[in-house]
Amino acid sequence: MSATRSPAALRGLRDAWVVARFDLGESLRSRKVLIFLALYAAGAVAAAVIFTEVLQDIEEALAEQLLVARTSQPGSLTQAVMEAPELRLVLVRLVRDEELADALLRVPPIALLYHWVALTFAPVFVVFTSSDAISGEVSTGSVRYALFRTDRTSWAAGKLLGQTLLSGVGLALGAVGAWIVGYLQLASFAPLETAAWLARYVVTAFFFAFAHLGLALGVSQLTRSVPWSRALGLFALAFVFGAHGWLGRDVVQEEAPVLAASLQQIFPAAHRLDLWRPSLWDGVVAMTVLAALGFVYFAIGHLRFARRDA
Amino acid sequence: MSRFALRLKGVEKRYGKTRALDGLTLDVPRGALMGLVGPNGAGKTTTFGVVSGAVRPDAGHVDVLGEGPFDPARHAGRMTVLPQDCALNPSSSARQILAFQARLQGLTAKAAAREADRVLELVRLSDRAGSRVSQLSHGMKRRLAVAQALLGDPELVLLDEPTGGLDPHLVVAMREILSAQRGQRTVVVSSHILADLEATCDHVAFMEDGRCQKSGPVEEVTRRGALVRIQLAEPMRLEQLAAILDGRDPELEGDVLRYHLSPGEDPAEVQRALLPALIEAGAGVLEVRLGESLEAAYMSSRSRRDDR
Repeated sequence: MSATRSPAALRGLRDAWVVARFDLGESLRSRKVLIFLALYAAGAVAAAVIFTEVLQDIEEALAEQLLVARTSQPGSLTQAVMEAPELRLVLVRLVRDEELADALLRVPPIALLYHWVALTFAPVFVVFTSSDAISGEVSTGSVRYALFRTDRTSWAAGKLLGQTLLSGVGLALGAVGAWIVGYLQLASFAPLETAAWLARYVVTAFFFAFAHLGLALGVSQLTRSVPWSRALGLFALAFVFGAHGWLGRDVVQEEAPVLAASLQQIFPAAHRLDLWRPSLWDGVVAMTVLAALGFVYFAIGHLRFARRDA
Repeated sequence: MSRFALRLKGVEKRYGKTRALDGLTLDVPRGALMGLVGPNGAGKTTTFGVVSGAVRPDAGHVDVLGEGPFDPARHAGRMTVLPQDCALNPSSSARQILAFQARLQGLTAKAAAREADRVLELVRLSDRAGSRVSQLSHGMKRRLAVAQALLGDPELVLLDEPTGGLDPHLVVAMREILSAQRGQRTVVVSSHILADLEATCDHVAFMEDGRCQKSGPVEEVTRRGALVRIQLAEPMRLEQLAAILDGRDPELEGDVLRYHLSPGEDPAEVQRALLPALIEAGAGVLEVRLGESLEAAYMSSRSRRDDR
């Protein structure tokens, strides 16, 4: 049996892809990850359902104010709701940017909601599902079947890629669920426009999730204990959000504005707002930085994994 | 090409205050089927870990296939390992796992699938190829773990307790699988079942406290070319024997008679002379063998060490 070994540079990539495909398959076959995926999709669907009900309440109130007939299906007065000055005011306060607020008001509301849910909950989901991706294999010893066949970097990169694909599947499922809810529940639903915006938001949310995935797999390489890696993952998540929030406080910004603003850039939350911007360039820059952050977090953990016993 | 498939020199590994390997020096000749024998905690599993790159040694030198320490770039696909007590991914099927591992060894998808089926047949798991690992019994999982070590055409195979947890008939099958590797590749196998190792291995190494106490060809370690061991039905007195054996100088320990061959002395000739004389004198002969059993050699090596 002759093995065809490609040149060293390509071999690492090939092995990482082989590991990623197997890891994705193993994850999708495992009940634990399936439950998480189902929860994720259910969360997006539930948020969409709740949103449509809230929308109906708002529309009913609006109908009373405008003295028009009440609607049985939400979304009939969506345009009126989106044009309401109160909503614009709320959005401006939220994003602190009038231009961005105006742009968001032109986006189908179900897509806006999906993006908000994905950016809020995807980091938690990826930390829950992936912070034991490497420590789990080290603790059970199954990593030892792989490490005499490929190098540690290719194997760990393959695990990162596999979990990235998995989070992509989760985000896409959530988007499909949100679109279906909108299609079934909203009267003035624009299927193609909503689908296009959802597709765009799946991509932006994917990059935001990737930064946190890098964090999760980074800490997963620090220990062979599954409970420890989960705890470290949650701690790291709390830290990156907490530190970003702390650096953004007025007191800190006044004391050291340049340093605080610079340090904020190493946390994914600093780039979240740019993912909402309609300009493609802003989005691409933010996604590039988020991808780089994910790789850096992963690489820091890998420095330890590459040197320790597996 | 190096004469040795594996060389370890002064290898040390500590876990906290425990010295798992304490200056281990061991040579495994290319093509050998070597048994690694030692009590729990002797360092056998750590040795396999160090050789396969999973465990980082604190000191010493490891030379795999004459090309320095293990490096996947040089050795992937040329060395395979059966690690001890390591779980296989539970949600995948036996075939999926083997095909994945074969792919990592550099095989194409098609060749990997063929290879997975070949080794499943070898360990008699073809009928469970599609079963998830979580649905397999302990023995089946062990056979699957052995199967992955036989994927491809490795030059060096390390097997840590391959027969642990297997039914007796599967132990026999495993022995046949091991014997079939002779001449094709170098195999290092650790086991507590010395009779298995004696039946299959041509080299042996005794390990204790992280060091190799003794190693060499089984013939040499068990002194097959230097000793005729005769098990008598009942103990005899040395004077009785001296009269029977006509000037030969045996060693008697209870009901076991040991005759040390002189250099060049033909063991068959010795047996032709000794056995009729013993039988004529009414001494029942239960067993005649060349050298000690591996178990006896191991125990005597341990007792000599304890005496020191």
